[in-house]
Amino acid sequence: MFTDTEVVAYLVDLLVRRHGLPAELAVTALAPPFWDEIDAMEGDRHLLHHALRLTYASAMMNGPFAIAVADQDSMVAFTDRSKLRPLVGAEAGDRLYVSSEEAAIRAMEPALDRVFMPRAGEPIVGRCR
Amino acid sequence: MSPSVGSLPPKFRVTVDPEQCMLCGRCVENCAYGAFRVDGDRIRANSRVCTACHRCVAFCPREAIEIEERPLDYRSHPVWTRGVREAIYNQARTGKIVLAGMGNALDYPMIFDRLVLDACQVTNPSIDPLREPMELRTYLGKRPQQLDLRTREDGEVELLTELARTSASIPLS
Repeated sequence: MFTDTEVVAYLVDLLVRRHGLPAELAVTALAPPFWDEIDAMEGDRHLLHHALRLTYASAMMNGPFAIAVADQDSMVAFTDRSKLRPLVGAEAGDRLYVSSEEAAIRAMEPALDRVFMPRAGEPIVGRCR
Repeated sequence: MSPSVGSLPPKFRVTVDPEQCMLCGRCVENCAYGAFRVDGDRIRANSRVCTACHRCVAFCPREAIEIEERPLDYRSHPVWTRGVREAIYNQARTGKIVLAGMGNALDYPMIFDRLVLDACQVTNPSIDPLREPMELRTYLGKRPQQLDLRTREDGEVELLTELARTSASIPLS
């Protein structure tokens, strides 16, 4: 593999298509919460996040990144868990936009209904109805 | 603190101008090295103990004190330079390796000052504790190849894979 993009594409394919993880959990595997945060979780949530991080330890991505992945009917965008790279999402009608900055979205769609910035590691998920 | 006469050539020459001096004794009182003493109607200075700290100069109300550097030549030698000789003298005098703070005063090239630090963005920098929290946790034993999950009707995801007991994990933080 030659690029980071390629690595992410293969990882998403493995997690989502082959292992059947929902998009939100695949993102959690790639940019998991810190161990301290997992330790502070309780019950089933703790077990799930613990198991995810343990099982998919080598899927955890190092360093700063912002990633958007899409297939025919869904799109997910997320950042590294410290949010060292920017990510902004916006909605206009039934369209969802993601970008590293709002200006890029405004260039395509000046009138937006909502602009939002997810927290570190928190994905923006869009699905076609 | 007063070296025996003749141990090392004095580095400075301290002179008190008797025309200017009013015998107030501030220099005698303030010199931490005891370089000054009253001798009848004048102040005498022992240059040998002076370190050119200039406290006497600062305290003298008449600007009667002068301190001059007084380098004395050694017989020239490519190995036994002034620095080497004086270091040996100092070690012999104190019985210790001479340690000094505030870096090295010798005329070495300042390589670090000439380095260009190009703090550019790299794709995968080594983990930097200033920017990213450092985590190290080690688990012993077998890990599952993949997780078996089931999404319940309420949308919650249920973990079906049974993991080894986690209480034996040792957080290293």
